[in-house]
Amino acid sequence: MIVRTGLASIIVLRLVFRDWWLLSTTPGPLFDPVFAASWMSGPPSRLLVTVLWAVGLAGAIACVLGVRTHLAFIVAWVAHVELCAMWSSSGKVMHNDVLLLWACVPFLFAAAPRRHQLDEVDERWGWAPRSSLAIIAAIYFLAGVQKLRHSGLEWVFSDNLSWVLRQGQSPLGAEISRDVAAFTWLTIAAAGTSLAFEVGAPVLLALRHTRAIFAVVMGLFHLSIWFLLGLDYYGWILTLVVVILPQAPLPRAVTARISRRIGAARLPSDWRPDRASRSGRRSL
Amino acid sequence: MSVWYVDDVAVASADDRPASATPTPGPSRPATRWVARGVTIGVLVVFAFAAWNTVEAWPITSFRLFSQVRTANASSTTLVAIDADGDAHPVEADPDHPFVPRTKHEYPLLRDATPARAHAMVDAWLRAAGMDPDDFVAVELRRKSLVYAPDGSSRHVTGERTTWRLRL
Repeated sequence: MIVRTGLASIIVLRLVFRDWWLLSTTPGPLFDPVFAASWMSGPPSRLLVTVLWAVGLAGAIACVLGVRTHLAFIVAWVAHVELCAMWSSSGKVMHNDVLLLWACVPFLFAAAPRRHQLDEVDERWGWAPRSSLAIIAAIYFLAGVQKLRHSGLEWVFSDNLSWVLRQGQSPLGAEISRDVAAFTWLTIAAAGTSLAFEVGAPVLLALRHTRAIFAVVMGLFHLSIWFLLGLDYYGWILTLVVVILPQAPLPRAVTARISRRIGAARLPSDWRPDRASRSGRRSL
Repeated sequence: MSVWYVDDVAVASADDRPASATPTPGPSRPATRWVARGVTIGVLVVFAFAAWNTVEAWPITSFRLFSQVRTANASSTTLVAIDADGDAHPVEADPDHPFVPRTKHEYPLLRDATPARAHAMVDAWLRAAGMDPDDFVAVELRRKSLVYAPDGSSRHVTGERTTWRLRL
């Protein structure tokens, strides 16, 4: 439940912190609908955007509050997908929302526990977080494989990342990116680490004890991309946090403190002392 | 009444369960397992197909993120309007417009667009740049080859060629 609530919370943030109404300012001939918006013949009207935004936000908030959780999550997801599709149809296809949208897919099909079932372990909702984890692993794995397929090891052992940094647009100023790019050993090490974690994602996320490491390392990479290139990937960082960390064994001191606050029975199974995740392993 | 587990040992009923206990797993549900497998494997198959065939049908994508090696050599494509005297004027959209500057990524669509659609797109770009289409006789896409300085602080054009032209 904590993962579904977390994903719905990210949808709330994505809906609130973007000026979706600007979509209606796209000149008609320059609106090039992507697959998920292929039913549209032109840019959306302000009214359509407002309706989708309001419905999506209401659904996401209802899900967070536990009101008709499953239906609310589906409504929020569909509205968010359509708004993102319209945004991607207005100039440049965006990947910022892709991890979040795909990580949500299992929860569209998995039942949600009712209020009195929140501390019950059941296959009906236990499989979705594991499935979401597998989807995230596949996305990172394919991103890594595509680098090897199209560039080979030259992607790591060359000036590649240095030139990515020099040609980026850091919100903190071009000098910072250029200064970092000057350390070739650092950019090669960063590229190698990034590629290793991407290609190794299926293993790192399959093993319970490396999940948190993966989330932290890749989160830091996304954060550095934000600072050094000006590309906003906070949606990816938050998705890693809400999907992976509840399924990763955290230090006992941390889980004990959370347990005292909310009760052990409400902890994610991987944070519980007896590792009740056996039910999750059985669910796929 | 539920049986609760601590360290894999059944210890208590629901009424006096310890704080660290968790409930027993619910009953086995074969139908749920099939849904779980279907959704998970289905998504992974879609991903694999899209990646292998480089499908870009958002939100389906081939996940080619920074997959090309960057070097000091780069290129850029610009849209220029040609007036009756043959002078070229860069078509530069208002940088503050939320979407038009991003539509540069649609330049490649012009080559395969019908004449009517190409005219409509060019008209939209010219107007977004504050230029009157009636003042020009043609538009061109020009591809510039660029080389960056070793520290990336500047770049200069090493070549330019016209890749597409439309008479207005």
